[in-house]
Amino acid sequence: MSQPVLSVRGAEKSLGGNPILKGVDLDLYCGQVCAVLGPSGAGKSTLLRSIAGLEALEAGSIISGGQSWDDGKHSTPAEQRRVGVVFQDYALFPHLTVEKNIAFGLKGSLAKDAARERVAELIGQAEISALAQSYPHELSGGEQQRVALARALAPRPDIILLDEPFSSLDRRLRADLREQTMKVIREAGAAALIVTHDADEAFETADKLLLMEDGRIIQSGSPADVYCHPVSISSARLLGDINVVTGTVDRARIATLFGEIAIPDMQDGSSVNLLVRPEALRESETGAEFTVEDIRIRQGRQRLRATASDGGRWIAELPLAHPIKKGETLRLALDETAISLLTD
Amino acid sequence: MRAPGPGPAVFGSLAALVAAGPILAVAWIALTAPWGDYLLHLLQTRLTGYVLNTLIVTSTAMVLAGGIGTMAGWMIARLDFPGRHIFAWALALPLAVPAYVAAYGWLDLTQAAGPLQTPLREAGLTGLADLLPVVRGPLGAGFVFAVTLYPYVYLIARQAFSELHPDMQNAARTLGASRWQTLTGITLPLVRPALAAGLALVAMESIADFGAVAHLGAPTLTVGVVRAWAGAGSVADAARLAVVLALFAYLAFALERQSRARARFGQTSGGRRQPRLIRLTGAKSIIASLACLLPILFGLAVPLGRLLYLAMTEPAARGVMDGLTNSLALASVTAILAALLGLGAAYAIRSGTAFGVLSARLASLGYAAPGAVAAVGALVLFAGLQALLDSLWGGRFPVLLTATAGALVFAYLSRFAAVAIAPAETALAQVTHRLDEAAKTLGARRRRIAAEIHWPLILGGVGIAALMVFVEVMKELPATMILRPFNTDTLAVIAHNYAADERLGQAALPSLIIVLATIPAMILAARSLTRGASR
Repeated sequence: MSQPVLSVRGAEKSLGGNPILKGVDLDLYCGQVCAVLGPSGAGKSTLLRSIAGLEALEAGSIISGGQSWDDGKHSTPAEQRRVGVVFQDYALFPHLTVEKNIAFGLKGSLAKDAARERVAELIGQAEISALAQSYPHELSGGEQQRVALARALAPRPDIILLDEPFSSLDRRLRADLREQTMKVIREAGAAALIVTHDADEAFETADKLLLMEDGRIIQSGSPADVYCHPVSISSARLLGDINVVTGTVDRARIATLFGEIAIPDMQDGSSVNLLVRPEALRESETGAEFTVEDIRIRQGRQRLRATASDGGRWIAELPLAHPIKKGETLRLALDETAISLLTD
Repeated sequence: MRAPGPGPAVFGSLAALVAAGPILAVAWIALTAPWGDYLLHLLQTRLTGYVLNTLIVTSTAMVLAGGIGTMAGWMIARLDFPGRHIFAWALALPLAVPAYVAAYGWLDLTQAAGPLQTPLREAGLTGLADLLPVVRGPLGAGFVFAVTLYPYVYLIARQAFSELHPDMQNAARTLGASRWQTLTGITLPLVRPALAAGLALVAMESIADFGAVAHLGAPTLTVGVVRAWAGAGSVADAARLAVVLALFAYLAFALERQSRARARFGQTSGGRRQPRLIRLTGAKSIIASLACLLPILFGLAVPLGRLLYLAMTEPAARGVMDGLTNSLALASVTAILAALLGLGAAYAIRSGTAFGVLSARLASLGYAAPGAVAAVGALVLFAGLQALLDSLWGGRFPVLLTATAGALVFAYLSRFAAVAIAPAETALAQVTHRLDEAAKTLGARRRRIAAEIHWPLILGGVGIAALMVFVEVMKELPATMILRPFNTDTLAVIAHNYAADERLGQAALPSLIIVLATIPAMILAARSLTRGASR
C-alpha cells in the first residue's frame, strides 16, 4: 500500500489525571474508511480529538504528509491541520443558514465564486437543496447530520473524522443515512476515521476495523478477519455475543458437550478457549441437549438463551423458520469451521 | 481543552472585586469602627421600628405580588383571550415604574386632601371618605411594591407554566383529578420553586427600596442607613445598620438561589411541545382580559396618570434638564461598563476554571446588597484609598475620590453587576465549546471565531444586559442619595427631594421622565424575553 496519509504512534494522553490513551498506533490511507470500535470510555473520542488537534498528546506522535502535527511537546493547532470533523452533536452554527454553515470553512481558501460553486455542489450532493436558506434548528436530525458532513467535506480535507455520526438518529434513518454518507465519503476520496460503539455500524462502514479498549488498540484488520479471528475474548465480545468453552488439550483433542473437537498442533495439557459465535450453532438430531430460557426475534432470526445439560449458559442464533418456545428442549450442534481458538 | 488565556479570569476577578468589595468593606468597618452614640440611641429608639417595617412591607409585597404574578403568569401561559399577545409583554411594564414614583401617585390620589376623598368630604360624606383606604404606612408600601414588582413573579411564573409538559396535567386528568385538583395538586407544586425565585426578587427589591418607604412613612432599614449617613454623617453607624440590612437581603437571596437549584429538578425533560391554550369565550374572556388589565392599571396607568395630571397643572420643577443629562450620562456609562464586566464574568464562568467560576459567582452576590449598602461600602473603600494616596503623596492627594461620579458608578456596578452577568451568561451558554472546535477544524482562528461565531450569538444578550442596567441606574435612588457629587442631582434625586417637601407637582415631571426613558428599554427587554420563551 502507498504511504499513509496519517500515522499515529504511541499516542498517550490523560484527562484529569486519568490515562485515556495508553500508546495508540494507527495508520490512515487515502480512500480508506477506518472504524474505531470500542465501549464508551475506551478513549475513542479522545483519539479522534487528538488527531483533529483539539487535544494535545502527552507522548507519542502524529504525522501527516511528512509533517509533524504532534510530537508530545508541540502540537499544531486544529485550525492549521484542516481535518474535517463531523461532531457527535453536529455543532452546527445556530445563527448561520445551512449554506453559510457549509461555506464557513471555505473563507480565505477559495475565491467567492468558487466557494459558492463548491457549496452548491455539496448541497446538491447531500440532497438538501430545499434547505439551503434554513437555520439549523429548523432541520431534522438526519438533515443536520447531512449538513455537518457537507460542512466538514467542503474544504476538501485529506482526512475526515466522524464521532459517532449516527448515534442520535433513529434506526431506520440511520441505515439509509449511513449508506449515503459512506457514498459521499468514498467519492471525496479522503481517508476517513469513524468512531463508534455500534458493531453493526462499524461492519457496514469500514474497510478496516480497529478495536479499542481501555486506551489501547487491541486488534486491527479487515472486518471479516477481526470477526473470525479475534485475538482475545474481549475483542471478540466487542463485535457481538460469544460463547466461550474452556478446556484442556488431551491427545490433540478437547472434550466439549458437543463431543470431542480436534485441536491439531497443540501440546497436550495446554489450556485453550474455544470461541463460538451464536450463529455457529444449528439444530441437529445428534446435537447436545439445551433448555430454552428466553427468545428474542431480531432481524428475522431468533436469538436464544439456553442452558446446557452441564448448567452452562449459551446464546444461539437460529433461523426463524421453525419458531421455538420458551421452556422447550432442543438439540444443538456445532459448526466446527466457524469456531475460533484462543490459547492463553 | 487548552488552558484558557488570562483574560476571563482577570475579568472575573475584577467583577468580583467590584461587586464584593463594598460589602466586605461595610462588614469590616462595622466590626472595627468605634461605637458611636447615634447607634446606641438608635438601638433604643428606632431600630425595632425599622426592622418591623421591613418585615411588614416585605411580606405584604410578597403575598400580593405572588398572587398577582402567579395568576397573570398562568393566564398568559395557559389561556387564550382577547389581547393576550399584548398583555403578554404589557404585564411586565410596571417594572419600568420605580416604586417611589408609584408611591407619589398613589398617596396623592388616596390621601385625605386627594381627588378621591375631597368630593366626598365636600358632599358631606365624611364617614364614607374615612372608609376609603389611604396608600400609606407599611401596608401601603407593601401594596405599592406589589403592583410595581409583581412582574418578577409574572415573568418567571409564565415561563414555568409554559415549560410544564402538558402531558403531566393530562396524566392527572386521566387519573380522575378535576381541573382544580390538577392545578393545586400537580401544577402549582411543580412551579413552586420558580415562584419562590420570583418572590425572592420581590423581597430583595422591597428591602432595598428607599424612596417609596420614605415617602409613605414606613421607614425600613434602608431608610435607616441613608439617614445614618445623610443625617448623622456617621459611616460606621451606617455600616452597622447596613450589615443588618444586608442580612435580610441575603436571606431573600439565599431563598432565590435555593429555589433555582431546585427548579432544575422541577423542569421536565423530553418533548417541549407547547401546551394547547384553553380558548375562553363570552363573559369568561372579558373577565380574563380585565384581570390582566388591572395590574397594569394599578402599577402603571393610575399612578402615572395622576402624576401626568399634576405635571400639567402645576408649575414645572427647576433643574429637570440638568437632572436628565446627569441621569442619562450615569446610566449610559454604567450600562456600558456593566455589560463589559458582565461579558467578562460570563467568559470567566465559561472558561470553567475554578477561580473564574468562583469569582464570577461572587460578583453576582453584589445584587443582594441593597443600594444603600453598596454606597456605604463604596464610601468606605474610596475613603480608604484616598487616605492611602494621601499618605503616599505626603499631603492631600489632588483627586478627591469620595463623592465623585467615579464612586457612584462604582457603587452602581457593584449593585448591578449581577444584572449584567445573567443575560451575558445565558447568551454565552448557547456558544458551546463544540462550536469553537468545529470552527477551528474548519480553519478559523481565535479572532474569526470571536467575530463570526461568538459575537453574533451573544450580541443580543449583551444588549439586554446593558439595557437592564441602564433602566436600573435611571431608577436608582438610595445609593445616589448617599454618593452623588455635590450639585449633581439625578432625576430620581430631584423627584425625591420635591416629594419630600410635599411638592408633588414638581416631583411629577422628573418622575414621568424616568419612566419614559426606561419604558422603551423595558419593552425591548420584555419582548426579547417573550420571544426567547416562545421559541
